Parts: sequence; C-alpha cells; structure tokens
Amino acid sequence: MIELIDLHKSFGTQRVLRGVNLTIPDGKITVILGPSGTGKTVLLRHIIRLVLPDRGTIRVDGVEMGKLKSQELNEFRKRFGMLFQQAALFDSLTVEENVAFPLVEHFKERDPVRVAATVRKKLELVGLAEAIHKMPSELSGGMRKRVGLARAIVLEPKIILYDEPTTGLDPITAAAIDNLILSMQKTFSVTSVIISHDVVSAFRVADQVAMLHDGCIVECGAPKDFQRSDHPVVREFLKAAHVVNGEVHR
Amino acid sequence: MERLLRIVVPVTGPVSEWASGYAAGLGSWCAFVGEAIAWTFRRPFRLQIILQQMEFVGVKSTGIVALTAFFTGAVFALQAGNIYALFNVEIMVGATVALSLAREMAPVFAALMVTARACSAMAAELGTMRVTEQIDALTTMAIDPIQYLVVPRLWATTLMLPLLTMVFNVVGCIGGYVVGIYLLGIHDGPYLERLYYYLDGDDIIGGLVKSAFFGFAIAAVSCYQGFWSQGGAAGVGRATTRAVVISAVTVLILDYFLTTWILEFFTS
Repeated sequence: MIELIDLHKSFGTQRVLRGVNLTIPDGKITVILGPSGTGKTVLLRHIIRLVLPDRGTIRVDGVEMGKLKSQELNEFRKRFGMLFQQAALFDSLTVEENVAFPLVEHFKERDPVRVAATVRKKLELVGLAEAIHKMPSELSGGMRKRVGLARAIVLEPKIILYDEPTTGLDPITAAAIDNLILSMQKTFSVTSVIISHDVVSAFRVADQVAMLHDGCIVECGAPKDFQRSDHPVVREFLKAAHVVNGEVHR
Repeated sequence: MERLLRIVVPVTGPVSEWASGYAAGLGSWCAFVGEAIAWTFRRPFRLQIILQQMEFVGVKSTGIVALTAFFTGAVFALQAGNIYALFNVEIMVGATVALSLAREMAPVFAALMVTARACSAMAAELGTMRVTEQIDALTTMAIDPIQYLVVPRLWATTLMLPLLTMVFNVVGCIGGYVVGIYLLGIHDGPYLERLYYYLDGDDIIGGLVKSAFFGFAIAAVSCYQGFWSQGGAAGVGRATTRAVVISAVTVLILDYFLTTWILEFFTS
C-alpha cells in the first residue's frame, strides 16, 4: 500500500502540492486525473523519491521513503518500475539493450542467453519482439512507450508508475497501451499508479480514480462513484471530456 | 538614513543576489564532486565504462592535441628564434620551447583542447539525458546516475589528460625542432645539448601533476553543468556553453595557483 500524507511541495514561489492525502491500495490500478500543469507528474515523482517533499510523508508498504538512506533507497527502488511520458529510453542503446539494462546492471541474470530470453519474453508481452534490434530513434511514440513498459517490468516490480501513458497517442495505440496495463495487472498482480488527463482511458482501466486540483486531491473513489461526484471541478472535468456514465458523448 | 538606503539598496541588492547565487552554485558543485568521490569507492566498480571514457577522452583527442602541439611548438620556436637572433643565442630556442611546453603550455593547451573536444560533449550528452528524463530513468532503476555517468568521466579525464600533456610535450618539441633546425638554420647539436641541459624531469613531472588537476576540474565542471541542465534543447545549449567557458577559466585560474605551489614544492 502507498500512503501519501499531507504532501506539500513548492518550486520557488509556485506552490504545486498543498497537502495531498491519498491511499493507493495494493494490487489495484489507481488513476490520478487532473488538468495539465496541476502537479500530477510532481506527485508521481514523489512516490519514487525523484523529488523530495517540503513537508509530508510517503509510506510504501509501511516504509517511510523520506527516512531511507542512499543505498537503502536504491535497494527499495527495485520494487518499482516506471514508465516515463516520453519513455526515456537510452538513445545510445538498442531496444534489446534498453530492456536488458536493469537485468545486467543488477546482476539479476549473468548468463547472456538467459538475459536475451528474458528480454524477448518481455518484448513479446508488449508485442514488439520484431523491434528487438532497432534503435529508439527508429520507433514511433507508441512503440517507444511499449519498449519503456517492457523495461519497467523486466525486474518484475511490485509497483508500476505510469506518467501519462496514453498522452499523444492515437486512439487505437492508446487502447493497446490500456490493454497492456490491464494485462500487467492480471499477469503480475502489480500495484499500478497512473497519472493522466485522458478520462476515457482512466475509466477503461481504473479500480480507483482520484482528482488532483489546486495541489490537493479533491475526489477519490471507484470509477462509478467518481462519475457521480458532486464536486464542481470533477463535474466540469468530466463535462469537458464529454463523459456521462463512463461513456463518451459528443 | 532612509535616503541613504534608497541609494544603496538598488546597488547592493543585485550584487548580494549575484553573490548568494554564486555561493549556492559553488556549494552545490562541491557537494556534487564530494558525492562523485564517495561513489568512486563503492561497488559496483564500472571499469568497462571508465575504459570507454578513457578511449573517448584520451585516444580520440590524440590527433587534435598532436596537431595543436606541433604548431604551438613551431610558432614558439619561430618567435623565440627571431628574438634570440638579436643576442646571438639562437641555440637556446630548443630549451625555451621545451621548458615552456613542459611547465605551462602543454598542460594548459591540452586541457583547453580536451575541454573543447571532450568536455563539451560530456556536458551536452548528460544535458540531453537530463532533459529527456534518461537520468531520472536510471534513478528509478536503482542505479545511481552519479556513479554510472559522472564517476567514469571524472577519472577517465583525470587519468588521460597527463598522457595527452606528454603527447603535447613531445610533438611540440618536434614542431620547435623542425622550425629551429630547418627554417632558422640552427645547428642541431647545440640546439639539443641546451635542451637536455636546461630541461629537468621535475619540469615535466610538475606539468603532468598540474594536468591531472586540470583534468579533474574540467570534467567535474562539465559533468555538473550537463547533469543539472534544464529547459529543453536551449537549456542543453546553455549548459554546454557554460561548461566550456567555466572550464577554460578554471584552467587558467587554477594554473596560477598550482604553478605557485609546484614552484615552491619542486624548488625546495
């Protein structure tokens, strides 16, 4: 379980998070919605301690992230996989080397044949086995995200963080990514945290939906409850996305 | 008093802001270097990446360093030869060129060439990795980016710059010899005899020690600038420019203080 308790974060004079409280249950998919520029990425980065809060506590499986020392933190981070918005693939490495990177670096697997087999298996899972020898620059946006996902799951993490997984993708590729997220969930029973402003995608995959507005979580619940929310910001957000009862109406 | 403050504050305000920003930057750089030194002694030791970086910084810079060295030695011999001719001491050209190269020109010029060729590339590469979230990706994979990216570059430059300085010394002397003997018509016997007489091993070692410090400093400055760059492609450009300018200035300032120390150390 991930607990975010009273998180505050400012950059200079800009207050981004103003007391975020959120509990993310184990083995479920939690989607954090919110318009662009509301601090969703900052919030996600706090969970893996890429950013330190000014105030507040982040607890993952009962462990307070802020109290971990450098090497303990690195060890703890092996529980996480993260898919970045632009995939963040190493552009000097091939797809195969990118996916193999965490395995090789952590000496999880020393035998090159086994490494290659594991990489192929993960790439097959995301439907990109044929791109194994390509460079990241030769891939489309959707393909890059799928390779990023293969890399994120290669160490078989317990928690996967997704930063805008469907942003900038066409509806078919976005649906394919959603299906991948669902299949990760079913296959590995991971805890998934997705930040997005794609409402349709959120309702397709989420077990829990939260809304970040003005630096706070203003609504959180199961997708059906979320859609019935009376909160004006939630209503406006859903209305702008033309979502009524989980269906898109235009 | 209020009138005085109204005059003084607009002047002191920006100055103190600049000074505190500069002090904060210096503090952050020191912490960065301290962290890199601490990570040097922690496992895993990334020998393969250090060797790759040594090839990039050292082997691939040899050509440009040799070219610069040849013409530096040549032009220095030409200038010295013309002046020494006034006093009939042309045979001192070789010794002058060799001593100047060993003590000053080889370490400084080699450091400036490596700054231009390799350290600018380091800053640009790390900067691009920062703005495309590749450094964050390393962190999320439980790999310390300072250990993985900075430590190999830092030590590779520190180790390779003395070797490049030695190349600069040798090729620079050849450049001086070619101009001195074949262009100015100085007899090679006395030319070389004076060179051997005046050039000591200490002069060469002092220059090599200096170049190791330069290597460490320029790599630390360039990696820091790249590692913490922000603001997309323009930010990477700014970081690269800053890396080159600060490294070059650092070499020249450091040169003065190291020379003071080396002269004291080697003459005592």
